[in-house]
Parts: sequence; structure tokens; C-alpha cells
Amino acid sequence: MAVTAREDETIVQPPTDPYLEDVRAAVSGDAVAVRAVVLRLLPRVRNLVRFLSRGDQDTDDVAQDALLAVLRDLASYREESRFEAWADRVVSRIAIAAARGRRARVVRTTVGPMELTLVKDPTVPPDEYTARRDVVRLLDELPNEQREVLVLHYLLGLTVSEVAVEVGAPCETVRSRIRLAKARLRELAIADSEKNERQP
Amino acid sequence: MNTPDERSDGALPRGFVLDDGAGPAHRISRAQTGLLVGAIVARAQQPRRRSVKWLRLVLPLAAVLAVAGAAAAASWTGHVDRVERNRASRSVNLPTTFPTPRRHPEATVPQPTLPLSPEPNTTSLEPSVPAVEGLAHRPHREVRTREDLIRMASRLREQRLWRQAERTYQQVLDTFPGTEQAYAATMSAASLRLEHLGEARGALRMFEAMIRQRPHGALAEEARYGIAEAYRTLGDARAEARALRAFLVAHPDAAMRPRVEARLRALSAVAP
Repeated sequence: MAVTAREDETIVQPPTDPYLEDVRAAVSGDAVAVRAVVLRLLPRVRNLVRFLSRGDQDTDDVAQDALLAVLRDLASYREESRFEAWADRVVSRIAIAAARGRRARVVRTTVGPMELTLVKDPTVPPDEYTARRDVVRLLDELPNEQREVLVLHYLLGLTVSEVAVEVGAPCETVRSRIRLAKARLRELAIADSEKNERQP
Repeated sequence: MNTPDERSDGALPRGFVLDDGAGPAHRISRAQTGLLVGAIVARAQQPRRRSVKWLRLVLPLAAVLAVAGAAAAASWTGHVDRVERNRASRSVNLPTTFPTPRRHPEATVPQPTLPLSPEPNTTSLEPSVPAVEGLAHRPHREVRTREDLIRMASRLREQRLWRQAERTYQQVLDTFPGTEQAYAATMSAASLRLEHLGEARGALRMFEAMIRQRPHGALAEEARYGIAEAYRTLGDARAEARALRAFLVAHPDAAMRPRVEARLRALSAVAP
């Protein structure tokens, strides 16, 4: 964040949103900018979708739908918040709707030794990727209602009242779901680490 | 409460982080990333699903009008009947039994119903022939519009019925050649062939056809990238490098330029 001192007052300039230029160009119909936005946003969107969806099988399809929704809503972005934050909201709505519509489907999570070879960036230590994969594996054990509120509240930084609007539930229900989700997640994490310790 | 209120207790496991780094989404290859971007851009070019918002507004109004109309008609008919009966009662005695009203001959024939759109998971994409005689000549309009075909292909895709989805896109190409929808459908069909159906050669033909038909088309970038990926899948490194160089010449400002350059460097390191 850039700080400019001017006599007795300090002006804090907000950081420039790295997406803004491309987003503005994309809204005006620049195809190159559209691609740039999609390409740049894709990893984050896939990650958010995975946080909200059970299993890996639908991640790319839902990410596609979500990015399409972002592109189609692009003109409504008012630059009042960071573009990523705005896009996260759009993506989370699509992902939650998709997860609710696919509850009954069989869940498949890619697990196993392959995971260690699948690290995207060679500079990222493998255990970071593994830690994130472990988290969603635990999240897959939670009911959708608890998972949604946890992700919206902690990952997207929405307030309880904002989460309540997003999921269509009263604030008290949201608070209760958050408490239950955290407790369950803690239990699952402990059980998981005990299981790992028992294994040779 | 307007601030995140339960953030401070640190109870969440490590790895509960959202950014554009590795995970938790499973890793996909550069090729898959390129195709995914291509598929999104192609879908963005396709027509949107027809909005049903106007139906939500119009249908209740129509229903109210229909009910009101029916009530008015019934009321009017009743009024006319009563007037007629009153007139008749004034002149003749009412019969003790009323004859069964004569129906119009056509009213006894079962009314044909238009076939419904096929279920999304249908495997047959051919228009079903209506069972009712006299409708056999009618086109299956629900299935035959390009927007519906593309919608159907999208649904098949969502259900991971790759082959059926590819055939549906192919149907758009065959039925509506030269249209924007056919152009975008070619991209979608080629991506499915390359990514899910193991038909790199078929995908290559489709990508090349897209470039031949519209060298500067809206999806030319994805098509050129697709050509390189198809050659990569086929194991033809020399042709892949040629395709990547053609990509850089045609799209010097492409967002995928760094990836393409990186791949070219990797190829030249293996076979200079």
C-alpha cells in the first residue's frame, strides 16, 4: 500500500487493482482482455469452486459456468470493491447452487500418491498443496449448509449478515452453522491426524 | 453484526486459504487450462439461454385473464341460457329430461399433444416422430433450433456424456453451417474430442477448419492453441513447435503468450 506524507496529513492510497485495466477493456468488448481476465482468474475460481463443491469431478464444469457468469455480469462491476472480491461473490453463488443441485451425486476425490506430483508451481512446497487438499477432503465430510457458511465467512470474509443473505437463512442459524462446522472440522482433523500417526 | 466475528480463535486448519496458488482444486495441465479458457470464451460467444423472466411476468397475467375470460364467458352463457329458458318456460313446458348435448365430431377425437423436448440425458438426438397421425410432418421445433441444440449439448456436458455432447455440437455444424453458433460449436466439439474422447486427430481437423474458415475469427486464438495441443497429444513435437510459432505470429498480444513461449523453450531444449 503506497503511503504519501504531506505536511501533517498522511494520505493512504489504495493499492491498484491488477485486474482493473483488463476488466475495463473486457467490458468494452476487447477479446484479448476477456481472455486475460479468464486466464488470470481461472486458478482462483477453480480453488473457490473446489472449496464449495464435494469432490473433484465437477470442479472444472462448475468453474466454467462460474467464469461465464463473471463474464456476463462484468458490466455490472462498479469498481467499489476489488475485482477478485466481486468475482468471488459471483462464483460462490454459482458454486453453491451447483452443489445444492448435485447433492445426490456420487462424490469422487482424487487422492493418492499422484497428488505429490501434481503441484502446480515448482516454487510452492508440496506440503502446501497437500494441506489444502486435506482441508477439502475434510470439508467433503461436512453437510453442505455448514460448508457454505464456513467458506463464505472465513475465506470470502463476508459478515454473518452477508452470509445470511447469500445462503437465505437467518443470522442466528448462520452463527450456529459456523459453530457446528468448526467443531466438526476440528474433530475430523484430530481423527485424521491420529489415523496418520497410527499408520507406519 | 457487521464484522467477521469468529475469526480470531485460530481453530481452522492450515490450508484453509483462498488464492490463485496450488490447490485445493486438483492440478490440471497447461493444455487443459488452455482448453478450459477456450471453452469458456466459446461459450461466452454462444447465445444466452432465453430468459424466462418475461414468462414469469406474462404467465400469471395470462392465467388471470384466462380465468377472468372463462368466468365472464360462463357467466354470459349462463345468462343467455337463463334468458332462453325463461323465454321457453313462458311458451312451452320444460322437458323432464334434457337431451345430451350434441358434440362436435372433432371433439371426440383425442387432441394431439406436441412432443416434449427430449430429456437432457437422452442418448437419441434424432427428433422423435410424433405418434399422432397428422403431426408426423411437423418438425420437432424444440430440438431443431440451434440455441436448443447448444443448450442440450451443455446439459450433456454437465452430465459428462462427452460423446453425446460432441454429437450434439456436430449436429449444430451439420444443420446450421456458417453460423456463429456453428463456429463456437466447432470449438466445443474439438475440445471434447481432444480432452475427453481421445480423438486428437479429429480435433486437429476441426481446429484447422476453424482457422481456414475464419483466420481472424473470435476464437482463432483458441483454435491455433488447440492445433498445437493436438499435435502435442499426437506426439509430433516438430509440428507442435510449428503450430506454437504460428500462434505467436498471429497473436502477439495473447494472454497465453508466456505459456506458449515456455512450451517452445521446452521443446527446443529437447529437440533443438
